[in-house]
Amino acid sequence: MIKKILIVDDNATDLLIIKRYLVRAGYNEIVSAGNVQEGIKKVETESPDLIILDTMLPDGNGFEICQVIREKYNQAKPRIIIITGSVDAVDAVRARRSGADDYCAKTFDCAPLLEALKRIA
Amino acid sequence: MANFKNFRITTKFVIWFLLISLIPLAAAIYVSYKSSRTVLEEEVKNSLLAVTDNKANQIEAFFQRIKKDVVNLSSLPDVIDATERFTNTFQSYGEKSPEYNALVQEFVPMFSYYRKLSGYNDLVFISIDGEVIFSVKNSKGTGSLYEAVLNKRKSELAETFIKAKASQETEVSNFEYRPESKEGVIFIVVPVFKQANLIGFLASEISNRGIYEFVQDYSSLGNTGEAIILSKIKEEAVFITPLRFDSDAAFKKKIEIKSHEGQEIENAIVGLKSSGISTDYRGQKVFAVWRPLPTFRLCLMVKIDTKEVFAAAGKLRNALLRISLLLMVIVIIVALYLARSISSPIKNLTHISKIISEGELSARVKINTQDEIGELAASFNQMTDKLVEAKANVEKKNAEVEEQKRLLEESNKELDSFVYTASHDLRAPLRGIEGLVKFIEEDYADKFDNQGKDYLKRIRTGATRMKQLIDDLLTLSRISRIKNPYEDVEMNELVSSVISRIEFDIKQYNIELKVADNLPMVRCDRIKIQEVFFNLISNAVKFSSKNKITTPKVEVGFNDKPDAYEFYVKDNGIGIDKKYHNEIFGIFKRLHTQEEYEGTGAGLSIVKRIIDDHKGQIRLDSEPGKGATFYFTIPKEIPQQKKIGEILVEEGIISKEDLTYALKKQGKDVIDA
Repeated sequence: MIKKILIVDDNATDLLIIKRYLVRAGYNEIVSAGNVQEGIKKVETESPDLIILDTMLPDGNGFEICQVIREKYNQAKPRIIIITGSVDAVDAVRARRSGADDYCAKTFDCAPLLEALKRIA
Repeated sequence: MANFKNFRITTKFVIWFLLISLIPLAAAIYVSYKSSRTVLEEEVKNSLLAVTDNKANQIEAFFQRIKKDVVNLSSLPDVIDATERFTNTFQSYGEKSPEYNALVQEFVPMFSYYRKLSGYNDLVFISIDGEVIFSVKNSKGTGSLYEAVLNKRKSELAETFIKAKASQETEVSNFEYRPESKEGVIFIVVPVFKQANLIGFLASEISNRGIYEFVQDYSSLGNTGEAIILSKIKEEAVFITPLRFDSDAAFKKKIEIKSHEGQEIENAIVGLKSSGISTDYRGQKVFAVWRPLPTFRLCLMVKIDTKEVFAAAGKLRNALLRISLLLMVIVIIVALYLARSISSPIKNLTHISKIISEGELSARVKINTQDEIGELAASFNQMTDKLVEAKANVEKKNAEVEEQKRLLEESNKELDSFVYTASHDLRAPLRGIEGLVKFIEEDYADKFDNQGKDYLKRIRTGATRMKQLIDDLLTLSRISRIKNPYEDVEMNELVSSVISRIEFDIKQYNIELKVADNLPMVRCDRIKIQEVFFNLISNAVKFSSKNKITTPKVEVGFNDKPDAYEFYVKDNGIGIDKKYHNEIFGIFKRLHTQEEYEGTGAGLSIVKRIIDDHKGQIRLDSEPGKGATFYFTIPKEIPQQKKIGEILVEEGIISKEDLTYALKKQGKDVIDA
């Protein structure tokens, strides 16, 4: 059951848009981080059920965070979706390898993300 | 026989040397053998002729002497007296009378003495009428000679007497054989005159033994030479002397006159000399000389075996053959030595060149001589030096090219990565614009009048358009960066899946779509070729949809070319002017205004890039108002492409170890990735 969601994205507008659609989809507990460091910290402090990671971050990328989380929390918790501004097969492979549950493109209406959420939940 | 050209040098040398040396040698042997034979033959002929003449002279002299002796005897007063008295007594009293006996007693001692002195067998007195009135040997008369002739008794004495009586001259008989004494005898009949009156005949009987000593002298006749005396008796030539190899041959051996030998003998008897090669009584080939002995009408034949005559020539020939054999051996040895001296440096050269061809460029030929072969070796070494130099140059050039290629690839990668990052970063603000405009439309719709709503709509349209541009840019960048493994793709299936993606447009524009049902199976990058068909068909749909005059038509087809599959997508849209044909494959080249057709124009450059990647060709056949047909080819033989796993490793996305590990976990091999 997904309750708390952590979004790691450095783009404030994207954060704003994603939050709005998640809220609309019924998820009210949403926290966010703007870089890798803060993201890892928030994973520990907030212990979210789902983490949405952007691929490009100012101090690194979402795959790194994904790997760190997987090493720390084993397979079980939390669920991870990697979102990206560029749809690319290479990114998809990297996402899978780094241990993400799903991978989707960023769009202005967040439709792929919401579908991925449905698949995971 | 194998082709001479393909023989080894050594073999060729031996053959040539043998030919060059043996042909003149053989000629020399032949000529010298022949000329030595001729010389020998001439020599033998001369010596035989000399021997023959010598012997003939001796024998003739012997015969003449006997003849002269008998003639002399006939003119002795005792003989005349005896002839007269024997005739008278024989005729008056008969040979059994005491008177005849008294006469015999008187004359026997004297004529026996004469007979012995001259070596006659007998001395016979014959009366004019042919009666043998006294024979010294028998001490009596032996009957009438006419009677003998009349009785057809073979009697040389009788025949010769008749001849002598007719000619009143001395006559010589032919030989007559006496089986009882195994000898041949000959008679000399001489007329006896008393004061020019013929009173009777004196005949002497002479044995053939008297001439044995002449023929049995074999001096200067070598080991096989001999002299033979022959007499013609009836139709046969009879040997009247013993032979060297058959002492019992006298009057036993005969030769047919009609035979070749016989002819020579007959010729000689009538007085002709001749010489030549013949076959003797032993069947041996002989060199012979025939000449007459006129006094007794005989033939003297002197002969010697050719074997003996030509033994010297044979010896010479054998010696020459031995020399030539020795020479042959020497020639072969010299030829082998020469051939080796030529072929061994060549072999060495071949060996070195093989070593060099195997990559050992430091190998060099050792130069032992200053001759042509030495020059060849030197220039071979020079060539190798040049080869080393050239190879170094090529390697240097290759390294340069490799470096340039690497730099180019690097800068291409950098460019790709730049485009990728740029389009990624460009999309982010666009998403914001689109998202936020949507929020405004959702949340504040009632706060905007129509003008405001129109502005918002224009912002969204602009953002959408911008996004499309960036997406195309991204696709183009991705197309060049990502290479999928090639697989066998059923083209009909692939085209169907493309059509299903644009089914909506096809239906909307009421387009008559025709796809050939014989599209082949092609080895290619499935995803990218799908992109090609998608772009071409959706372009065709787009352009033909604007055809307001007839039903819009789109056709997908295929031509089988020798080396490639050629596909085409045809529409009956507005067509494209020739002057733009080369430009339309460039990035973002649009020939029409946005209002007429949507899209960014990146599609055709993506298509061209994919076809280039497949080493195919793309071209356009179109004129304004006549529609357009895009042709592209995919070669039937495409070089093996990299596997996805290799690509991932190359791109640095995954380490080789990780890939191998992951694949092993799935039970796959790296090759299958």
